[in-house]
Amino acid sequence: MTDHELNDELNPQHELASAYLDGVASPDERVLVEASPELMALVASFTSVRALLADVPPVAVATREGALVAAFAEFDEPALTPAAADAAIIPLSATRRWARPVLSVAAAVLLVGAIGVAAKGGLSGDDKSSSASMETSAKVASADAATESQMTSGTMTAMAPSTIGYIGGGADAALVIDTPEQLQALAMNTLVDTSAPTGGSPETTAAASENTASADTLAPSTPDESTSYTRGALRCLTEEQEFLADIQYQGTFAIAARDTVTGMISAIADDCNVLAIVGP
Amino acid sequence: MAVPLDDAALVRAAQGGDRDALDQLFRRHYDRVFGVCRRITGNEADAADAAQEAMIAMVRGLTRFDGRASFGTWAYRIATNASLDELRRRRRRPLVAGRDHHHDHRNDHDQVHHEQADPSAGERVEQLGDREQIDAALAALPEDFRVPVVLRDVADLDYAEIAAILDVPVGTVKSRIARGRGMLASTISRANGNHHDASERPTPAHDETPGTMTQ
Repeated sequence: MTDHELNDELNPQHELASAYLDGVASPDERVLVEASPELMALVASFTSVRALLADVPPVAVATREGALVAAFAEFDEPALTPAAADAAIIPLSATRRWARPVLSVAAAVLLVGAIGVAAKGGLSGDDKSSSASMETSAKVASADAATESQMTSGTMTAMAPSTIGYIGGGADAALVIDTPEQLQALAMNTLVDTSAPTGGSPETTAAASENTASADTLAPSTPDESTSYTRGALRCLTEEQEFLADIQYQGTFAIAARDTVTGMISAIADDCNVLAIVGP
Repeated sequence: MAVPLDDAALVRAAQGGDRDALDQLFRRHYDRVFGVCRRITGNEADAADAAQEAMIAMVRGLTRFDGRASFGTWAYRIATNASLDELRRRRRRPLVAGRDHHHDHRNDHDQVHHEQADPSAGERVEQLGDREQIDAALAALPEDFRVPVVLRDVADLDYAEIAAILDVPVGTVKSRIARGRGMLASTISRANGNHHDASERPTPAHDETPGTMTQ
């Protein structure tokens, strides 16, 4: 899009009608709009657009339940996983990101199916038994999701008692780091697996980091993309520091960064608090 | 019958580990979160992915939510970002045929808006029903106009909330919403065979609109 297209020059009639529709027109503007059949026609036109926009196709039950199951799997998942100091590092494939949604949807489908069975059973039974069946079904589905979630971390535990793994399934993926030793291992092993969604260059993202719309959730951007939606901690980097990876350090989302002069590795939270520093 | 707790109370309870409170909160907001994702991404499959990512992100960020904004505003901000991330991912990945099998009637236009705006979408609008028309018209609308319009008309946020989410001045939000609505109304009106609708009447300050929006 060109600058010309993005400029905010505006048909004043559109702005008047839009402001009127949103209830932010001044009394004088309201009088002006109401006195003009043309403007009132424009308001009617915008009202139709609003109605069409608001008429979002209904959400499929399986979609909603799948999302909730995935969210609760995250909620139920312990933020901290015990890790030994001599942690081996096994980066997980970025494709794991898809495992949770798929399994979550499967759990949701099971849930819907179970609800269907329960509802069918409810036709011949009383409400209480039907309700109980549904509750049980929901618990089964939640348990499925929890099991899947445990499998995600449990598999890694089985492979090595203490490993660094990706927290996946979200808009982002972060490495779970619980000890300074793991943080150091991250740098030494250049854990930044190219297949893992660990984020873009600090230069790119830091440039946009003043955007207040970002901090809590945002996914990584690639260096070739100009975006104002970035992780907050990048703004905390000094000129000497380079971004290594998104991490979750002892349960706090952060970034790992290397001081290019001293070689020190830091875990830096979104509020610029340095959670840990380890030597080169 | 118990009085339902407001969002703030549910948030506090959820931050304290109350799973039921979080469940209530999420069920209360999920459909609108999905609606925002649906309108920004333009199709069911990407919206489902984005909404799920948003819910997970909300869980992760819940302890840091300080209540200065309403939970809804915070949730829609996350949904907006998740949707934009989904769009960026979609631009990076190759097309997968039949990604939206269960919505075959929409596939034709679902698969074309990889860029911020699809310049040909407006021309196809006339072949579609109401819901498909608005999808295609949105696809033709540049992201900078689409997002504020969706946040206003789907999420029902006020200008100041939208400005905070997008990190632009309130005046910019106001004008982008007006322009976005004008473009949508124009596209849909033309699709319905009205070539001289109210939204298209020339005025001295009539600005040229991007893509196929101009006469």
